[in-house]
Amino acid sequence: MNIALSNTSDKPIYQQLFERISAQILKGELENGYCLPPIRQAAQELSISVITVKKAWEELERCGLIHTITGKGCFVAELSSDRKLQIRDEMISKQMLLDTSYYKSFGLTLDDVIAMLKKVY
Amino acid sequence: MLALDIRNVNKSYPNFQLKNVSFQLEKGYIMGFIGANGAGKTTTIKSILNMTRMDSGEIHVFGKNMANHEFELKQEIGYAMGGAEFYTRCKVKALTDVIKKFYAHWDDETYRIYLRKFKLDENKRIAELSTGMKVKYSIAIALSHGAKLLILDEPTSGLDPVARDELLDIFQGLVADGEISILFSTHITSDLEKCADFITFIEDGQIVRSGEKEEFKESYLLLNGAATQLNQVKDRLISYKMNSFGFTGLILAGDYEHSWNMKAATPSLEEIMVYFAKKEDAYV
Amino acid sequence: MYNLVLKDVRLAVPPFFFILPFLIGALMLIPGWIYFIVLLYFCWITIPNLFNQFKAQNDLMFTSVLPVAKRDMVKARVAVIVGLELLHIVIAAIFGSISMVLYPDVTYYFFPPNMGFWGLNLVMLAIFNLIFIPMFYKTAYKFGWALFAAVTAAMLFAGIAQWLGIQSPVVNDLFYGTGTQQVTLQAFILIAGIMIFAALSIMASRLAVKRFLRVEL
Repeated sequence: MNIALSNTSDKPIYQQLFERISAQILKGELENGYCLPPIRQAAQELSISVITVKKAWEELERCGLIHTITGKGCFVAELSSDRKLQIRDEMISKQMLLDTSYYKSFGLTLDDVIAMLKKVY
Repeated sequence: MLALDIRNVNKSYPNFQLKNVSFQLEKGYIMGFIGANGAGKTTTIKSILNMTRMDSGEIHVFGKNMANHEFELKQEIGYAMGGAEFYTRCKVKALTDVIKKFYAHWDDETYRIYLRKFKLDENKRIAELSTGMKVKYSIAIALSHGAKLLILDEPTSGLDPVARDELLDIFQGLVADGEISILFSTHITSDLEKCADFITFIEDGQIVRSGEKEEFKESYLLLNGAATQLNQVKDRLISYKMNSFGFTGLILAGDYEHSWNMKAATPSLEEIMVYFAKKEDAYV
Repeated sequence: MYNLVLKDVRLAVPPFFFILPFLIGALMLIPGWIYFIVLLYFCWITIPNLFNQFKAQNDLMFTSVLPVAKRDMVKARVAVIVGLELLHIVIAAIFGSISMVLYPDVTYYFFPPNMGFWGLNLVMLAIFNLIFIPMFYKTAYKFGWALFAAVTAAMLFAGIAQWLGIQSPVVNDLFYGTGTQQVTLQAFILIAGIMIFAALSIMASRLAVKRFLRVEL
């Protein structure tokens, strides 16, 4: 698992943590049945608070990306590639919604954005 | 299980008052106790340690009433104060020898482990230890007598960023197995942004809010708007600052309405404290 | 409580104050001197320095964090003071008897260092304790006025006793006499002194506990 968190970002840390891990699960970097580190251990290693990790894990579970086996830990859920795509698209469109309002505030049209995106991507 | 349960503590001084202070700390977590200087942090901590007599209220530690089990509970409480100096001319070794006699569950083995871990030299005098080292020494003592609740009063005050970061890492390591709980008072809120699980905010002797850190922050919003919009929202703002671009103000998230069409962001702990302090000023 | 006494002996009381009784006690070797001064030095030097020391080392905060009862904090402190006082008296008494042997022919204008005199000294320290300890524990921090009042009272007692010893033929005979009857009475005065010292010190300790329980740390 590879996690880089930023303390200065606008996003709460649990959100960042959730996004990093879900991206890795959805890309298939973390395979089915992969065991996430225990909450308290992860908190210590990432030097963030226990509750922050707990929240991220809960969010992952809510999205169906991981499941908890009491006494054993949290495991990456078995997901069909269709389901993975569906979850991915949901997350991306959420982010796009946010980004779009930002572009709109500068008065960009959809075509402007697509053109710029092509250049940058 | 609650490590610390403070219920309706009242205490009057001639020119200061603790009013109905209540908050709870769950076992295995770090709680940041924030507030400006003089807001009541130290008085609250002294009440917990039974050093000052409350007018009313109850304090429970690990489910036991502090008033009735002071002696027993103090064995399980470790206390460290940033910047406090005790017996500074004494050698670490000599001070430990005296202190350990007071604790029924003192463990020399644990003590040795933490001395090594914190790189504490037993033959140094207390006065020769750096500020950070003194805090580490207090923590080593607390852990060696089996303290399960650490009460740290401004432990990071006067520390440089490196020492502070090191100390915060230590705190997180301590709660990692879920047995130890930490109440950590500070006015340096950046210490808490990373390591605290819960935040309790005291202002003028009253608890403004106590809760999980993100929820705590998200219960407020920092609004940015044009000067012309200020009148519309002024009454709901906790306080605000004006500048040439307009105003920035703190508001309870529940009081915010989307129709206002203003930029709203989750504030940092520091911003929350600053705007609350401004509110106080406004009344004076 | 034993641990608290040990704490004071090992941390709070500088070793010098355990040597001082010997230095001051040696003043008993001055023939025919005002020997009351020997124990007054304890009140003048040891007590203020000791309490300054407690204050400077933040002893009150240090101790109140430990798992100890407030009552025991006072009792232990009184035990330390009383212990030091007894150390001073015993050593001074030893030097006193050496002094009596060394100068058998000296005429004592002031009280000779006999048992009766030590009885008076015990009463003097008892008065000192009764005033100083409860007054100090009103704050458990400031000791200036308590010391002033207690030292004044102790000195007044010593002064009046000495004045009577010189002026009143009855008192003079009682304390300066060397006959069997006088020596027996002096022994009784010593025993009475011990009892008064014990009683007043215990009383001081109880009053101090009551006051200290009300102190906000």
